[in-house]
Amino acid sequence: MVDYIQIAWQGLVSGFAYALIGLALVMVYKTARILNFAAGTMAGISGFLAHWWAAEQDMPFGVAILFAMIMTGAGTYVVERLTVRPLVKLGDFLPIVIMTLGVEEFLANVSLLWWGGTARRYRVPGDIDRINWLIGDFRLNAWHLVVAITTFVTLSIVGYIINQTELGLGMKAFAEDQDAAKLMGIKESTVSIWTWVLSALVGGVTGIVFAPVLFLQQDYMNIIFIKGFVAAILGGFLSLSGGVAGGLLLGELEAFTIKWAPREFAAALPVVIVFIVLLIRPHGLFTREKGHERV
Amino acid sequence: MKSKLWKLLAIFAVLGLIAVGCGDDDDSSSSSSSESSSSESSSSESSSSESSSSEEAAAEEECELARGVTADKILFGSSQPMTGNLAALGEQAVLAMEVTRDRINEGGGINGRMIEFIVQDDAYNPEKTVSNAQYFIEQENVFAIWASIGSATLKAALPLHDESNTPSLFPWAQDLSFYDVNNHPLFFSVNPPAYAQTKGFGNYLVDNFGTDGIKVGLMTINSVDGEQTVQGYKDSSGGDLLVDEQTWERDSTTYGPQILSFIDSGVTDVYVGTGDTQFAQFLLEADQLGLEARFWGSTGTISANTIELAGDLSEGAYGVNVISSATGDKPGLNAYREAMFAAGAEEAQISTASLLAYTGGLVLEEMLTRAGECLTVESFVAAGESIKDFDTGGIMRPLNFSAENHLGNNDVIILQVQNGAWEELVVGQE
Amino acid sequence: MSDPIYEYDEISTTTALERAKIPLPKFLKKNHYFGFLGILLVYLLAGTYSEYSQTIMNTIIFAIIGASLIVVFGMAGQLTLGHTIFVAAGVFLSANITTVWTRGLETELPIAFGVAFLLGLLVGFPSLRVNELYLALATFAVAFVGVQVLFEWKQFSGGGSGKPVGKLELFGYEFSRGPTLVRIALVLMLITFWVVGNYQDGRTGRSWNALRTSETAARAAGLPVAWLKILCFGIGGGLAAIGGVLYAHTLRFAIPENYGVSLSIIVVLALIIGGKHRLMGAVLGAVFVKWLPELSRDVQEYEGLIYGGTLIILTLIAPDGLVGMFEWLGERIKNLKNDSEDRKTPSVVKETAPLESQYLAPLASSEAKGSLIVRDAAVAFGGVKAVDGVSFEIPAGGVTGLIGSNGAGKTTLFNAITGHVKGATGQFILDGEEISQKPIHNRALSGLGRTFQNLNLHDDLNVLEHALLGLDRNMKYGRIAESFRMPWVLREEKNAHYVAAELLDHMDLLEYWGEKVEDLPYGLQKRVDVVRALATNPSILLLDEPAAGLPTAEALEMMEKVQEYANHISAGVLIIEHNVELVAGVSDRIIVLDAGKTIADGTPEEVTRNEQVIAAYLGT
Repeated sequence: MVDYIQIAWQGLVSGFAYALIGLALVMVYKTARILNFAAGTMAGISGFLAHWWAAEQDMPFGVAILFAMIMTGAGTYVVERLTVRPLVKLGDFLPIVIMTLGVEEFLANVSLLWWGGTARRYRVPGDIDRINWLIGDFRLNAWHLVVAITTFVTLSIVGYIINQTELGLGMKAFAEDQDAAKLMGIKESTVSIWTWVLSALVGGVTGIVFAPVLFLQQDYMNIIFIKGFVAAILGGFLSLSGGVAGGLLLGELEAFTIKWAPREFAAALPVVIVFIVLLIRPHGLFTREKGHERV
Repeated sequence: MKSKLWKLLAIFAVLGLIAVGCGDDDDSSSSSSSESSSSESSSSESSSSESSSSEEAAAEEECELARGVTADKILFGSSQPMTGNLAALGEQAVLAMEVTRDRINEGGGINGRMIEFIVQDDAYNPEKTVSNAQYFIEQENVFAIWASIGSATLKAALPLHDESNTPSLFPWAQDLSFYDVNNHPLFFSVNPPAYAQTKGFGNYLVDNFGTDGIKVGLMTINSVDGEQTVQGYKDSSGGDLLVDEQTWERDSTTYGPQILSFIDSGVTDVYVGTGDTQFAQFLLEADQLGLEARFWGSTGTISANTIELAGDLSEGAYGVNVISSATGDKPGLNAYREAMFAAGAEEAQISTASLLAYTGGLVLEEMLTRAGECLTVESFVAAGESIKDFDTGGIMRPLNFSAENHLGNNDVIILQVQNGAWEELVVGQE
Repeated sequence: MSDPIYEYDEISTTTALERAKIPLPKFLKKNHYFGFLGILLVYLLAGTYSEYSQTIMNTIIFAIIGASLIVVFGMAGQLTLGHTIFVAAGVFLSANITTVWTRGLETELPIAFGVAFLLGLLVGFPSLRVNELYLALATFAVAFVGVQVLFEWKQFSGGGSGKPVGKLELFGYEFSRGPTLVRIALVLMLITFWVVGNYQDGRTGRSWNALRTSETAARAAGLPVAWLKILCFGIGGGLAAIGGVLYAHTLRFAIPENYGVSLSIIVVLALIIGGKHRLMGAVLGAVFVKWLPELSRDVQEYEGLIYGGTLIILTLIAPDGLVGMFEWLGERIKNLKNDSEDRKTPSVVKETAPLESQYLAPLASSEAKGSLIVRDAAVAFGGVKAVDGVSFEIPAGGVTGLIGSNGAGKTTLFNAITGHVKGATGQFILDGEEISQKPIHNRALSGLGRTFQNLNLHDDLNVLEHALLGLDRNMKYGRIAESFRMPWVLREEKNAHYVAAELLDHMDLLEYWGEKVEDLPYGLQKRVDVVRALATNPSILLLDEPAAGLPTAEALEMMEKVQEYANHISAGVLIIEHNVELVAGVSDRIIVLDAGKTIADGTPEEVTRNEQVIAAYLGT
């Protein structure tokens, strides 16, 4: 019994990563109908920045993170203004997707030139990522707890912004009906830019909090991005909570299929299951048809 | 009128096609085109070379230098993963090659010739490795291709190398097929096949820990190298003790599921066929999940970075390598480290990848020296085959080559992390 | 379509087609010559540039794969992220055939195509259930799973270690791998491009383009959309496998891990960069993706910057791909030259009445068709009953008006009759045949023709092509014949062009035949919608607010034309209209809907005097 709890917890921890990235992706997609392919690389750069401030500039752990997040936000602001904004008028989603792919290539090269190929350890105060607590037969890693708390806090903050602030209202309006929102006087460019920044910050949090787990190396957030993408589609890509739920679900799916599925199919099974889900519910688990949100 | 013009053009085109198709002798494979370019280079070089004495002039005129060799330069090509998730390995290998080149050139070169090499990125994609090979051979006219990384990539390019009479030297690649001298007479290596490594591991395990209560788990990559790794273990004396086989993907973000499986199977020893970052993560997660076993890393895991990333958790971990630990204390290793740091290497780059390339460089230097003034592919190969008891300053046991054996080193070395550094336990495990 | 090299057929010189100077499809067009010469050039130079043979080969292979992707993505609009599964099929089949069977290209190519074709049909099924983003994921899943299958199917793929590829030979004659392989690849590229080009010119390509731009309208025109979607995957897959065979011989070793998702993405990216609507785009895209790394070898460590930066700039200035950019430049240059001339083509004088032309005259029929029986039609959206038990019978050949206030359920009723709304109940019988259970396109083939309130025209297609779409059901040539541009294919296409021209002439659209519909003024667009429906030779024509947004005079003129044609073929007409005067003028009978129910059904006089109708609709 406890074994299952352990597996479930491991799956949940991976799931947090997928959920956060899924959230970041859905956020931008809902509001601006853009798939941000650069999200993974951006999250990785946030992690590099946090390490740089702490290890090279000798900033305290928390301050380093703060500076990294500020730089992430600022950088995203600039990138959005320069690259995405001009394309939005076209209305066709394809060029924008290509654009984000171009940004991704560009940033990946920049980060390679800066960081190099070597993996580095992201040190946390007290090295708590190496502390494991034993609760009966259940083993809890201290940093995993930190990850869980961070995820919860991030989701709460995003939830607050979406539901209680004017920006959030604007985001929701744009998600529902772009033209109507514009007619109501909500400035599209403002909503767009802050959505991107918020999304990048969520990604940055993910990149930083998972750095001790994955080590800081080239492309370390890439796989998380792909799985976050899959998770978002599982959730329906039009529901924020759906994206999150999809991520958690995917994490659990992965954990349990390797346990139960024959070795040969273990890697492919999660994707196959998502595929089957889509056959049954083509618009994702948490979205009604025609893009109306259920949750 | 216009349409008639087009039709006329088309008829001419078809005629031209037939003419070209029939009379074409450009069907030569790249070997003949490279041979023609090599004879071009040698003839132009022999006419422009300055000889110090008339006897040498006479000798040189009879000698057709190999492609990529001139009176003052020998050119090598190297296809490396400079981008992608193996970028670290590429960087390390290149650094070692630079160190080798600088050492040779600062010493006046070999027979008056300086060493030069060109690096091209293949991102561990065989398609790029092949196109890089063509670039090296046909555009840059290199003498040989040096220090490739990966069996999948080299396997794709090897036919091109062989057909164009280009030696393939000292890669970090372990596929069994490479070592057949009859099929690949121009291949030289100091890196034993993956098969031999796990076989050595299995034998060592049984020799030192017996068979009572021993349960072994293997985690290998689902690729070219992985399968031979598993087979090697199965053929060792510990083969029957294998209870759990797991694989991992380059896309894995966690090894939790595999570790949980090992816990379930009750393994006492786990062989982890990964790179150093993955091994460190494995150790971390094994600790988190409570897998209590002896951990055995493979060649790629034996680096300072493993210890750096895994911290205290690396203490006591074993390693199976083909070469001494890069951080060990032996004349050859000290010289290697000194040179690497002088070239600007970081701690993390003191690793198997760079050490292997460096050691290959030592043998390369020897081969070139022995081949003498008249450096051709034949004299080079003969030189390599003549090397016996080559001393690497302790990095490997003395190397021996022959006409049937282009693999100078068959050592399997067992190491263990003690006090934050890799220490050798056994050298030359069979 | 705008090929200025044309020929006259020796019939009468007063056909609409000739007057408008519409070019006829021919066996060899300008593009064919250019393409052939281009390939010939590379063919001849292959020997000289043999040191680039790897890169040239990779470019050709990617161009072929790009062309195969044009079938799936460019034409049919199915965004697939799993296309390389077909390439992988070709690669591994090639490896096995050359080593295990020791056969050559003569075996590899047909088998690779055949197997990949069947695989494509299978892969095409998800495309019926999902679209756009979700299809991208479904195909992504296919690619992912495909690679895993390859890994595990060790006998076929050699597992992780992969399999070597055997000799390059054809009917026992062995070839070397340098320039000769390039030449063989060029020949295959020529064939592949020719085949894809033949689809672009033929009914299949037209149908694919139609379903990409408006699935609704495509179904209404009687096109078998579901089969077409599956077919595009089959054909696209088969062609991609040919690229795979060439790829196998270039790499000489087949390893499963190379054929995963990232290769799929690169292949799609290349096509989008080049321009997915033209074969030239496949070439340009392949050149971009393969030559950029080759030419930037010296600055390789900045390759990502260059590549990414170029992508960013390209999307900013050339959203239609490189081909789009060149076309735009070409337009600008042409416009500069034609500055003084009137942009519109001069109006074409009518000589023969189109309906009396040899093409439309045979369609005349005195046998009235289009009797429509509707029994208890009902459509509910959630709790709202949009159509609530409507029944009526329309005699063959009659003109019936359907009026009612906004939201009365008129268009929904149409959608129930044509099948465009799910969950409709009731019985629909057309000319004695029950069509209630049939899918949309079968109802269309049974004789239902319709227009749309919001037009649903096909952007990217010109006016003539809209008419040709409607004529699709008359074309009997098969898809295989179409691939190879058989003489009877051209004959039928030519005939269809003549018929289409006459139809356009009848609706006064002839001079706009070559215009893209999105460039036309609204009134003309409405006529295009009508022409498309008329071309299907319907038994009954369902017109949804054909006069909406038009000034009365124009509306009346158009209705006159429609009526004339309907009389010519003795078809029935059911017309939704707000303009009561218009409707009363043309109809034999009027049905009035209110809140989903019929409140009146009779002659115009009866209905306009009906008190309930006046209260609900006509008002004071």
